[in-house]
Amino acid sequence: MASQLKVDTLTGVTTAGSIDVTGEGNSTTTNLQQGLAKSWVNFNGTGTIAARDSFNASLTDGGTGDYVLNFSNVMSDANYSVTGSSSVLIGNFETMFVPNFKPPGTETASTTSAFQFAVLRPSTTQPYDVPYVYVQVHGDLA
Amino acid sequence: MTSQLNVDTIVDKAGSGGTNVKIGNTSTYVSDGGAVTQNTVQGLAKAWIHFQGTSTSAINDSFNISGLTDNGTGNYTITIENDMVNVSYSSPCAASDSGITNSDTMVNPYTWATGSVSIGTNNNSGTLSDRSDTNITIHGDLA
Repeated sequence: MASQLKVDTLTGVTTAGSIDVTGEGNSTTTNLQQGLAKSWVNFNGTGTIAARDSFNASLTDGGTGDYVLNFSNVMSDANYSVTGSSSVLIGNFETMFVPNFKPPGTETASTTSAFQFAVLRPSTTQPYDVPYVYVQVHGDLA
Repeated sequence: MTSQLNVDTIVDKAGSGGTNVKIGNTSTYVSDGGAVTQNTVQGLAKAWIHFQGTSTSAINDSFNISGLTDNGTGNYTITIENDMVNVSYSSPCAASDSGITNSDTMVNPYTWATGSVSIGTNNNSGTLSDRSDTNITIHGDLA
């Protein structure tokens, strides 16, 4: 018979922020917290930038093709993983997502509360505003 | 009344594993550092796929994906099995080619529906090109 347990918060006993779940193959366990994306966003990077949907993220426009993602709940350190993609339109969609991109000497290091990223056109190697940008972050929340 | 369950490992009732465990969509978890709680379901990838885009395209592995359509060179449509609630989901992609030493590649989604997403894989000139290993992950709200 199926059972149902109703709770609001899952907390580890040994360590509050560490719960294991059994893997799909039933041979190992994996850490629930470590497997979750800690932040993600889908946003329009043209004009006044606007998130279509997001989780634990807000955005700052740093100029053409230049953005900052700010966390609501901060990370424990700046060693988190950032991945992303960007799109323009079919037939003209060669753009590139680059975390921490800035001209040499002007880079802004990632922090526990924010990181900078850019969207480039490889043909010009210059930042470029695009209507579709996707970012996801994995790592340790504070 | 707020409730809290303290556990180290979650498995299903039968004890065979965790594959049948269901988590409510408002559940939260304690963060890695213990300082905050966040929504569990919002943090889960809702679909992902790793596929071969060269020759006869084929799915290497996937989750919540029911099909892959090859629309032509470097152009694919991925069908989502359990639909998303809207088209505002986040869908970062990446690709490479094991047969090319310097396979500069840009992957760009270009059409979104609640039940599918289409992507293009491009070389560094912006020309659609097949890549042997193409990946996409979707975060957002399931229907």
